[in-house]
Amino acid sequence: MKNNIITFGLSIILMCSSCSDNFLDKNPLDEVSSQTFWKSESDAYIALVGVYSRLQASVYSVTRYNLDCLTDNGYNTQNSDQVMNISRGDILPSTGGVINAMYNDAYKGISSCNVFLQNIADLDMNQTTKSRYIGEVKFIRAWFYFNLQQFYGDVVIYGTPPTVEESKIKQSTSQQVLDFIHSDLDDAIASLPNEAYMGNVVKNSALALKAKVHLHSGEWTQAAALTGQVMASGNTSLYNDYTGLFLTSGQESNPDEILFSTKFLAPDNTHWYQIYVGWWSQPNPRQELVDAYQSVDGLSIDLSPLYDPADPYADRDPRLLQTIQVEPWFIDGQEIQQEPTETGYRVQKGVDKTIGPIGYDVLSDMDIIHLRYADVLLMYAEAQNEAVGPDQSVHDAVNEVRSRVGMPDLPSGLSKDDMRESIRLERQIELAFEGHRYLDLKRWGTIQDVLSVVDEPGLGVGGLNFKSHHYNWPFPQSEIDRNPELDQKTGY
Amino acid sequence: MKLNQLKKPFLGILVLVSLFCFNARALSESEMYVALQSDISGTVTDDSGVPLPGVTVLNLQTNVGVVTDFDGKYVISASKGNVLQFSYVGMQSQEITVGDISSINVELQVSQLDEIVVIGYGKQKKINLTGSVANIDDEELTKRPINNVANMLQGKLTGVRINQGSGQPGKENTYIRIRGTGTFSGAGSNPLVIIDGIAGSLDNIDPENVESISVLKDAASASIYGARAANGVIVVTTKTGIKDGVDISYHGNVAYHSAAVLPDFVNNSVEYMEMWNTAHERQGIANLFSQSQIDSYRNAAPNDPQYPNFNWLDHSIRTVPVYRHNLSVSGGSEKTRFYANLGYYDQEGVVIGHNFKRYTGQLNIDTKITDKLTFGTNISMAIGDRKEPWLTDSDFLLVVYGAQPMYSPYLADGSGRYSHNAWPEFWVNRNPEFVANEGGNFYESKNIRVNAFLKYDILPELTWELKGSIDYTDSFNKFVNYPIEAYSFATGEYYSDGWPVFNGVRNRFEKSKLPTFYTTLNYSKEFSGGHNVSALVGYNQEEFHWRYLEGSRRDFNFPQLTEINAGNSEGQGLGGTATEWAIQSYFGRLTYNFKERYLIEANARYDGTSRIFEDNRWGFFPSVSAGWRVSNEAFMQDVDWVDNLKLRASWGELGNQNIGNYPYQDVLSTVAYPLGAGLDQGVVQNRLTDKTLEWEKTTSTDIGVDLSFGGGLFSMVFDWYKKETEGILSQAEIPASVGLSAPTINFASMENKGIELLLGHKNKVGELSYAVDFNFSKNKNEVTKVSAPSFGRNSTVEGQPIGEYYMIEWDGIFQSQSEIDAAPTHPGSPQPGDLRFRDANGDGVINADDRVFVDGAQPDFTYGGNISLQWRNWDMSVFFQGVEGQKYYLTWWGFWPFTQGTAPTTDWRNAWTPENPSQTMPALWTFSTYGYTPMSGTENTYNLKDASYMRIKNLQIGYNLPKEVCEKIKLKDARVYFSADNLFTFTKMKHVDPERLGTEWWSTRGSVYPQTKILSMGVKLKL
Repeated sequence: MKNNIITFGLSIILMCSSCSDNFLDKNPLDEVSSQTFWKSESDAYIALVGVYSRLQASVYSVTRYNLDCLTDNGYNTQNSDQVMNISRGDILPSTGGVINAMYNDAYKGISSCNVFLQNIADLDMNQTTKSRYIGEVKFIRAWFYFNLQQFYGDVVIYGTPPTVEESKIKQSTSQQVLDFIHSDLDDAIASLPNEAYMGNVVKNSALALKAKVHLHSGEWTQAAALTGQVMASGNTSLYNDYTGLFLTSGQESNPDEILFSTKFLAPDNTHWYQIYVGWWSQPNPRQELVDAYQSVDGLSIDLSPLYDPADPYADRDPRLLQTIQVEPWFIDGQEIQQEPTETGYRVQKGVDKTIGPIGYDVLSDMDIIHLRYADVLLMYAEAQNEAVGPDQSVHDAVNEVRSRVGMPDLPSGLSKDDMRESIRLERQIELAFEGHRYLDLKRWGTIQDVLSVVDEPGLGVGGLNFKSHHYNWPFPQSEIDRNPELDQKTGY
Repeated sequence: MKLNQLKKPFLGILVLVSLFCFNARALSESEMYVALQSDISGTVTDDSGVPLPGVTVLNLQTNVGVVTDFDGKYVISASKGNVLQFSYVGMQSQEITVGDISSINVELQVSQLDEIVVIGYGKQKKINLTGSVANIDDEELTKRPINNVANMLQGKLTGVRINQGSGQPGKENTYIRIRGTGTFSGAGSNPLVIIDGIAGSLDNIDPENVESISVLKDAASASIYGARAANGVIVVTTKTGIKDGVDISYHGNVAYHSAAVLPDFVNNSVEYMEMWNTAHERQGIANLFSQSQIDSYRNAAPNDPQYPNFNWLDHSIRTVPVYRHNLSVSGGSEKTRFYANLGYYDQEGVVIGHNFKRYTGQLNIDTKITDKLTFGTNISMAIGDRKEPWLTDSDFLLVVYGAQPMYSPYLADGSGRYSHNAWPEFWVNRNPEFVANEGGNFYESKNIRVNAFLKYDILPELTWELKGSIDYTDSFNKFVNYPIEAYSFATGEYYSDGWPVFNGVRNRFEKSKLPTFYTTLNYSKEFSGGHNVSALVGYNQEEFHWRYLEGSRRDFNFPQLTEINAGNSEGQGLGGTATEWAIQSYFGRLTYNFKERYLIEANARYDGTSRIFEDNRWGFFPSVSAGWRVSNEAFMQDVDWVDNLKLRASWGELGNQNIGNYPYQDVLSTVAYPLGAGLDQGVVQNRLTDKTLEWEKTTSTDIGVDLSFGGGLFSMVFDWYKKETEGILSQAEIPASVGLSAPTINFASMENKGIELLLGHKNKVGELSYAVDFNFSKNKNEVTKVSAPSFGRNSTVEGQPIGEYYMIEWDGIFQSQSEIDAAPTHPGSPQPGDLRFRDANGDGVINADDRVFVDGAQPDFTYGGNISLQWRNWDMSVFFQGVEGQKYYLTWWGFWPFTQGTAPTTDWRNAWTPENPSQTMPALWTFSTYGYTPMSGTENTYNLKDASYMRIKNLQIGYNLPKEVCEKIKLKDARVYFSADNLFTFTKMKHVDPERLGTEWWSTRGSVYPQTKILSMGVKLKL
């Protein structure tokens, strides 16, 4: 008996220790190990999806509208992303908010791009597909670097994934960053197909982005030539419904106006646009923007006989009411609750008013558009006007945008300066709350003048403050602490 | 029944044990009668001649035993030459050889020295412990009729800080810290819990089934649990059957629960509105309520339902009955013992919308297969059904706090429609009534633990034990939330859909299993000359597997149907994953003592864990300890008033392996993006890893003294300790431009130092016996190294305790504009009646640079005590517990007036005014939505409230039915008692309970689920 028991016990122990070789090897069950990945073409696609997913970072997608709250377009009551403080000139390395997010999320995206480009190089797969994937990823890397260059100026460039030690290097100059972006975009243009944009970036996306980079550098000729190529591509046109362009319902038909966007898909891949904008009323459009919309006769409200201060929204550019909610929201006679607005206005663009009231259960999945054909037309007009003058092609481009919403053509015979003002106004109106205005005002050099006359809620005129060193945001303080090679921007 | 004649047992515990022992009776002689044997009878008394009931008398030759009756008398069959053993808890056993005389009277000597304590993988005589172990047995535990084992330990043990986080049924969220907070990383400071030798959770045990609990506090006692013992170990042993006969016991209890502390809000509608308007006027904001709105309430007839002064707290937080039943059967014969228990507990929450039901079962069996081989099993099961509203915890309570007195839950028109607010123009959070009634969050949980063991005595001094166990837990959660039509009270017009947080039904099924296997070989021998040696070696392995599956549908046409299939499949959601970890361990213990005078012990554990990279996944955790029992020295033999004097010291290393399941692995995270037609799966690399990452290590030193004298009249246990935790997980500092999150590394460290003192006194005066004990614990925590100091409200900074408050100091109230003008520039534009702050750096401006460290994040000390009295059939006990020096930062709901409409407390009737120039109560203000910078714009000590308290945690009066009465109604024992919990509290804190958690993200809110005051009646019967 005794021996039997001991034998039995020992055999159990042996059994356990013999099976214990792998007993302590436990690997994550829903995440793939980086050692076993990058073996096949399908891995490359999965990694490509991963790179695109970086576009969903909040400041690169759903809260892009907040950038307009740094301008005369909007005001953010809730100071989300710190935009109220920033617009009032409180910009410090420790400010955080969008100043940290824009930086951190760009580099997260760049990191994914670099890992992708490094690993796909030696992968055995279809060469055409490979070169297309590389083109797409280089486009996305260029997009993130462009944002960095626009908001911060000089930044660190990594062309390959750095180790922690390799990461601690000096920043490159703004021009070097631009050269890097152009090089990536040239590769992208060479390898991307000329077809309509459906989600994967295409040749037109890269041409349009490259045009924008040139435009923002004042390189008019190149910008005009590149936008001209897009216009001649035959794969993009204006969508007939300005409201629907920004709603899931309109986007379902894949309007070929969109050239580059961050995509979402309900129910499992969604964002909070309806909640932030439709319910919490985060961006409050300013009176200055409302007043910028012309009357339907194409005249500003100062000049138009159609403008009636007692009925200020009648006979205005249709985009006014398609962009801005000027009255309480009713469904079937019942008022839908929304957070209060300081300016009296809320943003209408992108808010689906058929699905109120908006609660936490409302899922938003419309794509957030970064580049679209109307922008390309206006870029062309601006570049051509600056490079050549207000020729017919400039008029045509602007008028094409205006006629989509039924606005009359620009008067003929505009001077170059008048044309410039018309184009700038058209950009403000057409692209309101899409995140373009702040960068446009900076590159036009008008931002200080424009902001100085804005009537800031609670502070009055002069409440906004843009100092000359604000053209570049500071490096976040933690970045200076951790990378001793960095030089903080002048003025901070 | 006779008075308990026990004298001088150790630390008051045995008074309670004796209650239990009164139940014993002599088994009838016929059961015991064996031919050729004669009856031996006699009386067992203590050393003062008082009869002792319940003494076990065992014939060591026949293995037959009896117990003495209430007069201390026994009758047992024995033949000449047999040895009778007389044993009784707390008394020294005696063995007497039967001679020719058939009457043997025995006098037992008190001994606290034989008390046995459960330790890691074994038991030890308490006097021979060289480590620091606190223990408590079942009578002491189950005295307080509450339903949660962790809460029962509160205030009972030195060095163990227990704080019930919430009074919510089934979700008490109890906070347990043994000798301070060991780490500030995600590894956590929760102790390891071992139930019947196997890791488990205190939530899954019915307190009724607990035999004893030991808390292993220092490295010497805990290092046998190695890589998981850094925060201490709680060892729970469940009951075993009695040796002879069968006891059937019933314990029933009905309790009335109510909130222990609630704020005193202004509930008069007119006053409420006028106060808000007053605050608005002062802050230069337009009046909120119009005069006609206020007048409509002022001029309304009393009790007009359209113009109520509704008390939402009274309505939503009530007194509720709570029921508990336990039935147990305990029995045994020579070879087999069993214990079975069935428990039922039904608790309605004091807050509407909450309830909890629990069913528990326990079956413990052990049987001797042969003289040397024992088999046993412990099987337990706990099933819980819990409901809470779809807004949970503080998020529900803030809705209760924020509701205004001007409206009641339903419109006054009798239509049964829910109200939302008084008038449509005033935003109010949701009506608690509809949140509580409609939909909800339902949990069904199940835990099953089965373990089985074989114990084999290879030699008399060598025992081999083998134990296998499976712990299975599953939990099903159903979340139901749908739109609810709610209307404005005054106008009856539609206002909201109740603002559901999720529209539809979401189900989540989770399950986990933990198979454990261990085996030990235990050697123990007394060599001649007083050398006692024991050794233990063992092997243990555990493998944990957890998974969940979640599904939801959003569109339900029939809200009353709450199963997934009743919803529309469009837009349905699905998710699920699983995680695993495993640990393998070798451990050992060696003890040696010379004549129980010089004691030496060494423990070690060698752990390998799946959580660490294979090159360094094995870790060694040793400890050594020594004790000197001065009282056993020859020179002390004449000092007979000293029962026990022992000095002890220990040192050792412990680990904390809760560093995440896969912290070192390079994995790609799964993401999704709709690149193609549908949603595509993608992967991204998100983080860097450090392959050298390992457990956090704690080095612990302990020095202690145990003293008892006067035959147990007084006793004392004192400990000094120091715990240093190193390698606390931290984020490495890397530039964000790397684009990946920083690797987790072992970096930071902290230290806990403290003392613990336990004092006991017991005595008997005439028929009154009493016991008093008091415990005191002081712990000092200091962060000694951090990668990046964090200076927030709760800071993590070297040289300060963890979480130390860091804020501007409040130093009074501005009395006049000239005082403001003369003062440093304050944030906002303060007015007379607003807070005045101290300009710590003297730069003339009050800003973040004026923040200073303020103590109170960790208490100065904690204490507790018991007083128990026994007089004839009556007994009474009072248990108190306190915390000194704890402060909580409290704002928003309940503290800042009108936070989301929350009424001010009645204190604000005495707010500062020019005519009432208070220096402590500011002028009435409104936090409303946007805040008011002079009051809410900075973090300052005005909001830091002293939460020191002393609480009469439990008071109990019991009556045991006299023996004669019991016999008449065929009972072995009957007891009725009355018990009260949280009856009185002495504290400076107003409006909220000082016993609360400061660890949750929402803990600065006044609105939390209240602690409960419990009045209960119970009956315990045994037949």
